[in-house]
Amino acid sequence: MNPPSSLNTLDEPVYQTILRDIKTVGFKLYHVILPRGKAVAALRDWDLWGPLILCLVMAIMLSTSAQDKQKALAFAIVFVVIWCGSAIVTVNAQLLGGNLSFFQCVCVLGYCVFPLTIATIVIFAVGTIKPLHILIKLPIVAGCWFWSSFASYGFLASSVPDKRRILAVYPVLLFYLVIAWLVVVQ
Amino acid sequence: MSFVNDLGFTDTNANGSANIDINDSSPFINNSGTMNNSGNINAPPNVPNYHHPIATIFHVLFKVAAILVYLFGNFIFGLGFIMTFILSILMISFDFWTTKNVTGRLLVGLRWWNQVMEDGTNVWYFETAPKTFRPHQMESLIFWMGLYINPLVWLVFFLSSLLSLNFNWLIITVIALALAFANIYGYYKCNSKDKNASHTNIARNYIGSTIVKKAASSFM
Repeated sequence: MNPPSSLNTLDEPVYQTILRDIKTVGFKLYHVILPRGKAVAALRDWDLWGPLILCLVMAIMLSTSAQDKQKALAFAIVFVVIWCGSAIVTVNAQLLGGNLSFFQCVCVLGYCVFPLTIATIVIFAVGTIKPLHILIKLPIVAGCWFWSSFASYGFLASSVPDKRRILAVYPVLLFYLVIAWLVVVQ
Repeated sequence: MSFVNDLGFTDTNANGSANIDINDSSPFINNSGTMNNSGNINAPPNVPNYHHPIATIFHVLFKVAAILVYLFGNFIFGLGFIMTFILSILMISFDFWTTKNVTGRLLVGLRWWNQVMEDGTNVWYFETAPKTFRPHQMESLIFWMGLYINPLVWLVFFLSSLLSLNFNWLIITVIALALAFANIYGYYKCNSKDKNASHTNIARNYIGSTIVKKAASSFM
């Protein structure tokens, strides 16, 4: 949600800004998939579009596979877990002396849900043909959980003092574990 | 060479190629002949000689759309909770984006945004257009009315879903209120700064931030 500093007339540049925002979202997702050195700079420019889209996609998938009566509840729970969870983890990291700003941290955590969203899509897509056994789901989700945690570790670890790193990373692992569990039991 | 950037400040150290189009189409500088006379602040409000009719429409449209979807999506259009939720959230975030990034700047010449520095600190910018920018009276009225009435409506929805312990619908209203108050706070700060601070300060602030932004973008 960075200001469109070169946004001037209304019609054409708004289109350009939207395109640029979409490109930035794609760029950040790419860096989550392949976490490397430049990634911290990529996520300095925070936005909440990516997390919102990932969260909505995941909530839609998980609620479609829920029982009819529980669809709305499943949707709301996924939504609340992702947003409130990332807010709590962020506050924790900040209290531990991390030098990430609040929204930046929420942005990072939201983007790092991406691998788990992929797992949800894969399980959902395969599940429409033939429901997967939990022993097949488990390794897929575990792999993606590790991937999410690894990506967010790359972003967050450098911002928290060395001594307290584990205290900051542990809630992040739990946060993704809860989401991963939601994916497994879908 | 000096160019006028989109807030109307003269930007002398920018490279030309990036700024030529900015100069031509700055919203705060009336280049085209048709817009020259409409900058008059005394224009009677009953003459709909809007500077930015499309921005004004969208400023109101997304707010009304979000409220209508929230109210009628489930019961009248039969979309079901999930579809209503998604549509409301999308309308609310489109409205937030439009109000923050487009209409505030075009309708009243204010802008607020945030930049994360390299050391992780957050810097908030509250900018106002220079005195040469004169908002259209009616557009400015619509902007502020929309900004302040919108959260009042959502507050009613919030209280009604809170009192009926309707957890699912409460989420939507909380998000709508949070985003609406973010915009109110941002524009309130811009407006109070407009009355207190000198414009050179804001110009310095802005140019400084542009340099930081260019430096930041070279990292990526």
